[in-house]
Amino acid sequence: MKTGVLALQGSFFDHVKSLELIDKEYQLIKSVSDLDNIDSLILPGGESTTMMKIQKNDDLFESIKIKINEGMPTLGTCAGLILLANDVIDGQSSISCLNTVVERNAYGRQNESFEGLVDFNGNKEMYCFIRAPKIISYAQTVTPIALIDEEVVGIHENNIVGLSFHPELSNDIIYLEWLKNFLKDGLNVRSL
Amino acid sequence: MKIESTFKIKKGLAEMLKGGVIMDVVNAEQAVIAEKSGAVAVMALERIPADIRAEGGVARMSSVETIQEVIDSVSIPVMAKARIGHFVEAQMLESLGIDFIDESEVLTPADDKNHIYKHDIKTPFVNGATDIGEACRRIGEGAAMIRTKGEAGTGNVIEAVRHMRSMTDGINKIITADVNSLMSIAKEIRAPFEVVKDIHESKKLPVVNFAAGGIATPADAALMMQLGCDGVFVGSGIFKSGDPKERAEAIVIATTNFDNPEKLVEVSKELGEPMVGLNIDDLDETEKLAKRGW
Repeated sequence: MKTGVLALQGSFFDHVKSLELIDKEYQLIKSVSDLDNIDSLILPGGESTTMMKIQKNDDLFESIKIKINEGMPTLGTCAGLILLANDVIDGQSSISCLNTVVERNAYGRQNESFEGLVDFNGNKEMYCFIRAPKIISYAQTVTPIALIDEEVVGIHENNIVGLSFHPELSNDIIYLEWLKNFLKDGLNVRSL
Repeated sequence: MKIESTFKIKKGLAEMLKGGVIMDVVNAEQAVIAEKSGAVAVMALERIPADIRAEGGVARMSSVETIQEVIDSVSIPVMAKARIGHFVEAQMLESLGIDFIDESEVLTPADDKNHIYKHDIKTPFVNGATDIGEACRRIGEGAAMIRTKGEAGTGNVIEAVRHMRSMTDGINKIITADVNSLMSIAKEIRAPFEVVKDIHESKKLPVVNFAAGGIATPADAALMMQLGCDGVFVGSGIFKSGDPKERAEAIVIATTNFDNPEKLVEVSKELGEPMVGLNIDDLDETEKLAKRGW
């Protein structure tokens, strides 16, 4: 089975590169028929408004939501987190399966975008925050999984992980090791 | 610990735009149509290239009011054009909080020898290029994204194709070259050695490369994607056409599904009139915008 990578728009080839580094086969997802042979899913960074517009063609997100609710391990980075969130301030919710409120571009515009030292998997690494969404709040069923200073920048609920930042632009060994285990086991993902 | 505006962050925004369509707009109303149609970013400018071509005169950075209005009207990234070498226009765009600056040959150049030193500005830059040498010079100056120049405002894709093919050939030549000949290649194409070496080692251009200049139909966008670009800029092609909203949406879908002819047929139905095109051979050499850049 392959990992599906949503490929409507955005940095999906950077996630493909991560998958190649851990020898995991992948399937680019552009329409509903691409979902057949996947056992895990990655929603990349990019523009969430653009992705929402393109998917409408065949209601791709409806089918993706069913797969996620069946328990498929799913990782969303940046715009991917926005797609997963139940509630988006100043924006639209779409797949809506992760119990969190996020705000688009809440760290500022591009000039305020930054590389920050993130505590993720008990490891500290510099990751990119690019016009990043902020995790404003989350339900009790959600566990924090990544922090910058005291602020939560990554969360985990059931088999769903949402990150404000872009580990795929760094591809450090600890992230890749985590990704490998997460895509395989989902639930056993380690929390802080 | 947080560090703003590193080169990785500048390049990173361009990475997020991949597979998308960046649309030229001259006011907030057009910006909203572009966003609703699925644009990944909008480019604010004073006049669209076809009008600059028709009306002549000096084309400059958009007015501060227009740029502010566009920024306030959409949630997607906003780009704006500065004249080649006009580092003060760039400083002003940085201060306005623009997300990307296009140092563009479409505007009248402000310096006939120098481009802007882009590392000193927090905002990332995209620059036009007609071949790999020009792309490397711009990257050397700090460009975080490249676009092929094409010939803006013509609705004719031939120059964009020519520049994309030239770029691909140039990259392949550097990748396959013997390491001993890299300096000689750098000299020949007038490119900084470090950038040439980087391309040789990583086997790709170090920044994202979009196509621009003459894209007017969904088929044009798909053609450029199949030729290997990372996304497209559409200028006059949208707001000079009969039905801008329909055409904008169709080009967005075509850019995602560039390798799916059935989908391309489907989105190309009932699009209304495309913009009127210009024959490149009918242009005087002095009218070719792609010649601007040094």
